[in-house]
Amino acid sequence: MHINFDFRKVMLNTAKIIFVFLIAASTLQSFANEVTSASKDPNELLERLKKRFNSVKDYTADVQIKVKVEFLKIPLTKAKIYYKAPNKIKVDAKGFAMLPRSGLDFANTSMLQTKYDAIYIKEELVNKVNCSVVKVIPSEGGEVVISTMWIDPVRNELVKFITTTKSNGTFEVYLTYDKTKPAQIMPISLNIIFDVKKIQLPKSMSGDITGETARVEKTDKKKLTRGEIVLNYSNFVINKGLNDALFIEAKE
Amino acid sequence: MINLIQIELSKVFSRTRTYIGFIAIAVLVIVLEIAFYLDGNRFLDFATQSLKDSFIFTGNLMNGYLVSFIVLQGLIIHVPLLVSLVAGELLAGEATGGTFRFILTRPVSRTRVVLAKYLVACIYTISLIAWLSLVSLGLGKLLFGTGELIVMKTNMIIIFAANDVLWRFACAFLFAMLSMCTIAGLALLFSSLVENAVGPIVSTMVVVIVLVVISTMDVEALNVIKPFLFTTHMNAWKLFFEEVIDKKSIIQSALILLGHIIAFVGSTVYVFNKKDILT
Repeated sequence: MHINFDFRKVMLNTAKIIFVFLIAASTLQSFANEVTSASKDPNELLERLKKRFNSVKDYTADVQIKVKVEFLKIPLTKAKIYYKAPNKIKVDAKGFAMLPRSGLDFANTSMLQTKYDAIYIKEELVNKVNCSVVKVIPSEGGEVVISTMWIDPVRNELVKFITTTKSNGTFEVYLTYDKTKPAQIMPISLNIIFDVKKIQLPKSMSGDITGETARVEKTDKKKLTRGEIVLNYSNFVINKGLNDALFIEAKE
Repeated sequence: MINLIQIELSKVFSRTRTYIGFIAIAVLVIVLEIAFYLDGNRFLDFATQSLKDSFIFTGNLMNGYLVSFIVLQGLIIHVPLLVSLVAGELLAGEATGGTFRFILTRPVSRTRVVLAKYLVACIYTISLIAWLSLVSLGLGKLLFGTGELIVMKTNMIIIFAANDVLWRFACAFLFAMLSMCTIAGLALLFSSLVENAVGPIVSTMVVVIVLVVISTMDVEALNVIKPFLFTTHMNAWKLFFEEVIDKKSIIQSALILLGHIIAFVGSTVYVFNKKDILT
């Protein structure tokens, strides 16, 4: 049996296939390199984040505050929050309201305005969002010692950050955005988790004279406990121009 | 019976001594509220200093509700004395004045006389606590305004919304009335035993002070008798200022106080019925 076999034609076709494959592979490789190098550059990630948040010069918003601390029983409170870049914050409430000292600057913008060193760590999934993890260390000292930020590189959103400060300990902040409004820069919810000192009031002040609570105290020797505050924002009004005079009364 | 009560009421409220309690409460509350007006924020800052490391506070916590709550804390100390001032004199005063025979010659049983006197003591006590609530809350609202109520326990802080406070005060004052009516019953019992008005007043205060000390001492051996002391249950008004109201404990304390009232008044009836009136 004789089989027609054109060796030259087969070799030519094989060479063409290999050539196309090599071109495709190198194209894909360079594309992959471009994408990964862009997300792995921590400074670029932070600059994109800063640019996004810096577009917000001021805002007002209604906020609902829920405090979840073991030894604090506080009802749900409502307040109005005013912010003016870079670091002016004022809270207005009809009645009593309690806000955390740390974490209200949810974009870490005040820290990112100073000089810092940034290190890319890894990619990690947070609430089903693939994030680039970046550690930021301020070079000029200041209140923040180190901050770890989880950034969504696609939407340039800060999803989570953990910041260690000199005087207020370490706090974690989880940010939730309105997925139905991708253009909205501000998060609709913040979960701030932080260390808080347990209270121990003298009986002369508390009037708690039955002695039962004293027994509970003695067995519980930890002085710090974890607390959580959930802030739900609504009715954002952004970049309408807030006067500095509005922030003068509130020094804190 | 109503006539008897009316007569006893007019006797009690025609005496100057009766108004000492109202004046004392007014002066005490005014002094306390002025003190808090001048320096109350420092007291609050001290209590919340550890929290201020972690939190920013806004709003008016130093308000009339907080001051009234603090005034109520002192209830166990000053009000029993003011109650026993009147209740202790109800029977002993008749003996001192030699008016027992006038009362008892009328066709009214000794039991009714005692019950009428006890009811009048209760009316006086209720008026005193109502006056305390009016002055402390009224003046507090005037000087400090209203707002959320912060209740500070040894290892917990509870903050009640402004619209969730007044009903708690109403219940607390009602319970305080029951507590003080128990004191009135004790004072009346001592009053039936002697013929000198000072004795019952002092005896009532001594008993209250000793039992309060026992009720508040954190000693295992005393825990057996504490649930049976009326002074242990007098502070149950504080249960209205908990995040979750312990209804069972409140009802239990109220029943124990009622039981003491029945015991004191019952004993007074027994003693008075057996008493030989010689003056």
